[in-house]
Amino acid sequence: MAGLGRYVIIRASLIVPTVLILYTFVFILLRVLPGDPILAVVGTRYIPPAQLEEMRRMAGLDKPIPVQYFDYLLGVVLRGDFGKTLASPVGKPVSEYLWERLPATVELTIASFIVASLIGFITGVGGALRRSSRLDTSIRIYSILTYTLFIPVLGMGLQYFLGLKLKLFYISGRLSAGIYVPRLTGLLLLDSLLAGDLSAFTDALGHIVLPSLTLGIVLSGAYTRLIRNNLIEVLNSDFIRAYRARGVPGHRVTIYAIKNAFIPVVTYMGLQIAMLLGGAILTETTFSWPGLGRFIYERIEYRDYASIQGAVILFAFIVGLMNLFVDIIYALIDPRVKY
Amino acid sequence: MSNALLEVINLKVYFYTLSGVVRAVDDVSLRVLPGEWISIVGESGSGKSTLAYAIAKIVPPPGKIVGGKVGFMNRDLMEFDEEAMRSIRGRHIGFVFQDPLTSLDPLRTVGDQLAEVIQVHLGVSREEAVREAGDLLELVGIPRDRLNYYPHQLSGGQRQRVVIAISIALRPELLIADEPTTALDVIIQDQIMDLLKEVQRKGASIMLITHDVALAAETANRIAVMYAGEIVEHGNTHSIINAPLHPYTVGLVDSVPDLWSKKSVKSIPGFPPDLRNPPPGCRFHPRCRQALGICTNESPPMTAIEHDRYLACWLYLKR
Repeated sequence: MAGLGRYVIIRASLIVPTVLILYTFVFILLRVLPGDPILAVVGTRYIPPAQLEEMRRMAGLDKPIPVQYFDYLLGVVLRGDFGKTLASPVGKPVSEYLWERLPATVELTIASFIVASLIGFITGVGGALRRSSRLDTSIRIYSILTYTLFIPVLGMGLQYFLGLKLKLFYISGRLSAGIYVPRLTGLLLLDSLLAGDLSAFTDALGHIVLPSLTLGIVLSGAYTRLIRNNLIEVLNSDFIRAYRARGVPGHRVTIYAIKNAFIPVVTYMGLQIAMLLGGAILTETTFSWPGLGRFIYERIEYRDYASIQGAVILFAFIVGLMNLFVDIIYALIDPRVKY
Repeated sequence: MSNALLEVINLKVYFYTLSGVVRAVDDVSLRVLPGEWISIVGESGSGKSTLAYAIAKIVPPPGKIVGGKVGFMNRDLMEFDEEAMRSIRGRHIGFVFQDPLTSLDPLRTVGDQLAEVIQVHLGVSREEAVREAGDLLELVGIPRDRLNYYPHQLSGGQRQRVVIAISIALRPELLIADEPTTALDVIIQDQIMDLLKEVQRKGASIMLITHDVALAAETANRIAVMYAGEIVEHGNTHSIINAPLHPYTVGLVDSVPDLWSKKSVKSIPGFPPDLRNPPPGCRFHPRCRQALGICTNESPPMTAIEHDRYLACWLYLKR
């Protein structure tokens, strides 16, 4: 296990450059983007130029850009200080927002991930086992269609049919008004269960179905294709034929094949975490889901540098962490991985 | 019926591909006696592997056995369903495939894979199967503590030994080895051939499938030469190697390089035909220097020209 410990440390240290690169990228992007955070907050109100300068100075925006870059970075690293928001309420620490918003995004991405992998697994395995059948063809068409889907369009379609017409699920938000769930983890489904509040759980579930279905469907096509193609390749491989030639029962051979086909999928899951979070921005916006993605979307309007930088750093950190987690799983299931 | 262990009669295996029907095995007959070693020689694409798969009815799709009969231990395998075939495969017919690097499951230890085949067929306890698996490993010259190794931790030669251990675990009457040494270097190749000889000495029949005439001749009692999905010549090793008759066999034997003679290696001009659309008559006639008029439109029948010597060539047939 000592080997695994070293492996984990090496992989974990790779998170640092990932976060750093993303922070640098978004820092530059924000400065290049037209617009000014102070003017964005002020809007059309008249403020004397001297007062504007004073605001700029208080926000630290009068300092040279490299100083701003390192000030923010050191604040995060040394004090866990993600800066203060310039938008209302002015001066609220960004970390408070992140802390409020993060669980919503985590809950949505986990749910979407489950939806995507379930659909991907069932359709992928089904297509591979019934290769070239009508079912397989439909599954392949499905997987290609998901690539062309735009999250807001699919989201609005589901909102219209399953939400407004059939009234099966809620179309926005995380919880209905008047329902309160005490915060433990911030994940409403989990917290409501821990509190033993079944009606709150049902309500939260009714809210998360459509957004997670939207994001899950869009991401599932890649899984479908990956699992189907891998499984077909494995089923045609020598060792599967060797299993059959030894008289091993067919259902066992299928299970061995699925295990082998799954290894590249685990790697892909790690890569897809980034896409999940990217998709979360669009999904959260479509469904008014109060998560980090929607937070970033709202704050771009205000050019709220600190908020956007903070959220992106947090995103990058989570992506790195999830990739690390996937790498560990990968090392544990594939005996060929050396650590 | 007969004293043959395996009796293949007029076997036809076709592959139904999008671009046409590939007649990979076309009207092949063959018999294997108990305890004998038969080598099947031919170029790649001549249908020799497909023939092997068809015997165990594991022809991969889109291939299908479309005609003929496979008799094994005096039973007609064509009448066996999948479940009944499963009890034949591994139990009575063992397989060794070409590439030892890929014929083991990379995610399971060799011990698991060895013990599994014993458990599947004999239904013994796990402990007993593992003990037996260890014995088998030692039998093929691998220390028993390698049971817990994954295939990637073993060398190519060791992996092929494991594959052989699995294939002989249940002492099958017939062991089919499909190019078992092609992926290995020469020294290891010798060791693997010795191992197969050992298996034969213990009473099994061996069917060695290879493109290498020298290897085929090394230990075989009989040799069958396949060309374009058909057996063209078939007889005891001595007569095939020393007095080949079919022009294709002559070409094959001449193409073996000899280290001690200055004689240059002769190759057979041309390429094997497209089996979606084989030439009419004798399938070898476009490459045959001695082709007669009849060769281009009539297929030569397989004929016994002397005791246990079969040939399909118009040159030697009286019409």
